[in-house]
Amino acid sequence: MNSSGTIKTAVMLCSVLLMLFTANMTCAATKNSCYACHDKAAFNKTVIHAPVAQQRCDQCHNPHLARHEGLLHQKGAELCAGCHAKLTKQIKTQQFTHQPALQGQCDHCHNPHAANQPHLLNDEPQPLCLSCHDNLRAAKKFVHAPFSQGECSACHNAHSSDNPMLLRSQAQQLCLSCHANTSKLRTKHLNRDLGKIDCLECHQPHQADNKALLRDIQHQPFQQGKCKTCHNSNNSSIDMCLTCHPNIMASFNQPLNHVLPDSSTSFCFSCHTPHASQQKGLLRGYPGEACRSCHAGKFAQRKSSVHRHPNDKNCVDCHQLHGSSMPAMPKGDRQNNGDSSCLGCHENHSNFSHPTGDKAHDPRNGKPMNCTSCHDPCNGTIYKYNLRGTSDKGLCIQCHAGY
Amino acid sequence: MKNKTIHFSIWQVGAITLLASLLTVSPLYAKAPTWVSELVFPAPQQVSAPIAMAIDSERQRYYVVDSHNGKLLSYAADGAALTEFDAAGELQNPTDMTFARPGKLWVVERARNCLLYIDMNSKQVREFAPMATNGQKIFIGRIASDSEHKLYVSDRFSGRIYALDDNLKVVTSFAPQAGGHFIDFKIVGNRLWTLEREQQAVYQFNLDGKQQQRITLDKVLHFPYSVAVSSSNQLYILDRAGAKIYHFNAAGKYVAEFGQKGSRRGQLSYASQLMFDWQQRLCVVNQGNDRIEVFSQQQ
Repeated sequence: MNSSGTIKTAVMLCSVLLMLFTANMTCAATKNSCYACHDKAAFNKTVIHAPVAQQRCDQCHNPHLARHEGLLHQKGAELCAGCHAKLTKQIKTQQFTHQPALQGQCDHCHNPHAANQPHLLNDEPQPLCLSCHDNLRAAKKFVHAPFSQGECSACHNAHSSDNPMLLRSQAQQLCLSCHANTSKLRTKHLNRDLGKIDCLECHQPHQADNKALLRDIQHQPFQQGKCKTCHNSNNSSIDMCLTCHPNIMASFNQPLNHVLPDSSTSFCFSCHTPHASQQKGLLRGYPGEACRSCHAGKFAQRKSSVHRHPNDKNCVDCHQLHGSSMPAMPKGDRQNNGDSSCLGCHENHSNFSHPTGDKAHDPRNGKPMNCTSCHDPCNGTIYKYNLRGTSDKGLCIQCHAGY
Repeated sequence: MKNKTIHFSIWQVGAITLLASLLTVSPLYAKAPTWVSELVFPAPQQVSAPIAMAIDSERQRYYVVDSHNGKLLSYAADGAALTEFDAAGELQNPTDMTFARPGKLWVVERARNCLLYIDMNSKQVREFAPMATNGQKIFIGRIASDSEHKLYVSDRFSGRIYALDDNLKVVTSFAPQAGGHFIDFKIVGNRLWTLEREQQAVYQFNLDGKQQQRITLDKVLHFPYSVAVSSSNQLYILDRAGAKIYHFNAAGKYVAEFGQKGSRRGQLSYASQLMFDWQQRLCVVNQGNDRIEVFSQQQ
């Protein structure tokens, strides 16, 4: 071996020895030194996070210096993902995600060191859930048993699910797992196959002021118990609905509309429930749920956007639901250049920003500019304010080449 | 002379292998033709959110349906504006058109959900509301006519295509398999091609209603909206939400794709229809950009 080879080998050996030595020192320091400053009692609770129990503070913290607050090796969920890989994969791949999990804020619900609740929860399960979902606090006359017992997890997954509302399984399967499929129950439902009925269409899952936990907004014949108004009709198509709502078809007679194939039942049922709902207009499910059934790609794209418009699930805030003459069916008319839905909330924005309408034509397609020329509020983007490019140059030079 | 052995490091060998493989493989990719925006019309501000077009291959003219302004506009092969027509104010929200016998047009009038039969010579406009075989009114989506001027309409309610006789009675029904709904169709020669969204398939029928083929597309699209079939039976599918055009071969195997969302030339915004012209150029009704974009193939 020549002299340079010998030197290289010696340097490598020294490095390995140094690494082993420092690693050992860190462990020793962790086990012995952290509690010298940090009160050990704060870590002694019913449930202790494994690294804390093993006195391996260094698994999450660097005792000397780190980029992240709390001397953490990594930020938020990235750190947790190091050990909880399976859960992280589920959160990323499943269709519906709990907001804190989506934003990597594990500490919203969990204490990273120790807690007196299972799963290191910050509080008892129901108070913890209601700390964000405070709309469920209002006491109503009738309460669903699991909800009254504080068993949120009887129906919901805490992190993610492939079912809406993070349900553990499809709604009717979940309901029938407790509510036996008896003839009494079937009779109440016109002897329909209960396995094919969406229970949540009519029933509140938590609490309600109506008997049988029926939802608040009810279709008039349903409310009056006149099931035969619709169920005895010879016609199950759109004509059934038009019998009572004859003028509604005019709102669909627009160049772009939501007329959907209705070979078995009325296409109105794609978005509206004929029985009961919590949404005005008897819309199906929670805001946006009816839209998601056809526009799932839009929701998936939005999920991956960094900057999203507030309340972006409330499609009805910005879009016409029946028909429109404008692509994407925004609210308002062409006189407002398609900006009506934006101006409802951002009424003063046009006073200080880029001119729009006939004052400025988009050189890319010759159309009068509107809010969506620069913003993409529906999909969200990776830029602040849902801009379509960076606000300094990337966006502007598309039209202002000499900028 | 002294022999000299050349030694390569593992990195050098890797780089040479990669380069060689790229050189070998690249001609395979070069075979996929690219589509380039060759022609754009009308001029800015002439139409507003065009929704459909028709092509007169004999006279080499393009016709554009301007639903918002209630007009039909014609353009020469080079995109130059020729005429505009509003049927003396009878057109409110036209959404599609096709040619009937010479000098006559069929137009879908969405505001009244009816068909208009327009005699261009006498300027007479007649209104019809065809009914499906079950007695239900047809909610007309797309229309087209064959070489014998027989009219075909798509029904948004049933998701079927109907061939109508001169009295607008349904003579042939083109139905998808259970659970499917046709959203667009084209007539090419003596074949009717339809696009089915839910199962992402293209059907080929004889004009007498007999199904010839059901072609399942081997790539999942975001929001398939329109189909065009080339003279060599290549399938082109417009994905409206994804702002892309996908090319599949006659067996439904994915070949290529082009297009991206945007406002600049060659980019798509809420495109609503695909159609081949007499030169086998692919015409796109670029609705959100207020223009028709004609793409030609370049090797």
